[in-house]
Amino acid sequence: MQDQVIVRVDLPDTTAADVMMQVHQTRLLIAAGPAGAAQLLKHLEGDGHVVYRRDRRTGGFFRSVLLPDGVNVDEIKATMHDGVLVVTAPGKDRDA
Amino acid sequence: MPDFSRVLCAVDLTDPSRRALDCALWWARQHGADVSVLHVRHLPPPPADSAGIAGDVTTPAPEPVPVAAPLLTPDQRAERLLELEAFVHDARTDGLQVEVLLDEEATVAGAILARADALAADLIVIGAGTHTTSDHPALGRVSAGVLAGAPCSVLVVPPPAPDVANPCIGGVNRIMCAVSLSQASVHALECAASLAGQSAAQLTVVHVVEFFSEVAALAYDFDAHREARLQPACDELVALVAMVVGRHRPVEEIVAQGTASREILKLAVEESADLIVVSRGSGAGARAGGRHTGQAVARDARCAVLFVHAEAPVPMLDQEPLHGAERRDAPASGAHGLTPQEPRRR
Repeated sequence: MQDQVIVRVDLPDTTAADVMMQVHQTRLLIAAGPAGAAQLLKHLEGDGHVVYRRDRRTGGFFRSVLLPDGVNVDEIKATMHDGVLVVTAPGKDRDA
Repeated sequence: MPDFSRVLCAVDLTDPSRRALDCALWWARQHGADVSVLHVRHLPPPPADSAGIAGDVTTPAPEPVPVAAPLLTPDQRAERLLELEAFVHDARTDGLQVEVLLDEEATVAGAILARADALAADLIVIGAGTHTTSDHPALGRVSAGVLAGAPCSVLVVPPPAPDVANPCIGGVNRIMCAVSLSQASVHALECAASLAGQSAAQLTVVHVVEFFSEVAALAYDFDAHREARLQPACDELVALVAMVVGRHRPVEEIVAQGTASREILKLAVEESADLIVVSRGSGAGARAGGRHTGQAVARDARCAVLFVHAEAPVPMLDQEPLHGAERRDAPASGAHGLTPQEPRRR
């Protein structure tokens, strides 16, 4: 038995190569495009006041999502299909 | 489409109010508006000991007493009007219908509001009038009074400084609209989107989720509580922008966390905003776009702040049929942004 977190992000006109993800402390950071990457960098530098940002002009996207306790961050997987990013974060085995 | 065909600009003949006048004239030129420039001569109230204490149980409330300073004589009034006209015509008034008005009242803000009402003004332009007589700078008393009671939208213009945006020179290239996701926010966003369209300006829509007042009560699981509030805020902002602005027009959506006024000001600097648009007096209190937040923003903003007056009720977001249809077609987890699901068992 284990829990899992699934995150879906609508990223039209974006390819998997444009997407960046990083686990920072207890949060999953997702960014797309240069503007999103810049926001992700700011977040890593400690400026975490922006939690969501989407710019239709540049296609930039940034989102910070809290990961619940018990998520196995080493097993996070992501797929990109038809402009939809799906991130799956499995939980640790309860009996382990 | 906002209607700003009648602009009332209040001036006190100082340099900061000259900047407000410049902005009012610039705004009128952009919107084909007529401009009334009002100077209110402040009549100080009588000394306290001359009237007793109104309502005191031992002293009957006195009859209204004349103010301490006498009204201007006709000659003095004509001279003051000439001074006001010279002040106005030092600015760029070509192609504009401009009238000058001189009132004498004990309450400056009250006089401005009365004129705005009588003229059916669509917009009052006023300097921020910030002062630092206490430990914390505050929005000027007149400006705050006008904001509190204005029957129309209000444009608050900061005093001139090297780092303050001057739309009269550079125009409006970046507009930031701060929304509280309340009904009044719809009017503010409609206005901001319309202004952005007219000026070909970039539009950024900001919502700030505040937590500070809830920290003590929710310290046991603050992270989970924060996330539970942030996600709906993101979804609501996306839905609001889609409804008011449309899905394909260039716009930036931002959800931040912290103290609303501080985050709005910080983002306005980051985005180099030339104009901040908020709703006026929505009763949202400390929420972004609410009255208190708006006044705090106007006090410290490095650009003009437009307080949009909500004239008529508008449909609530969850009553909007367009979105009802779109949401039926959307994936269960949400079509916009992203939706983390609660942990589930396999």
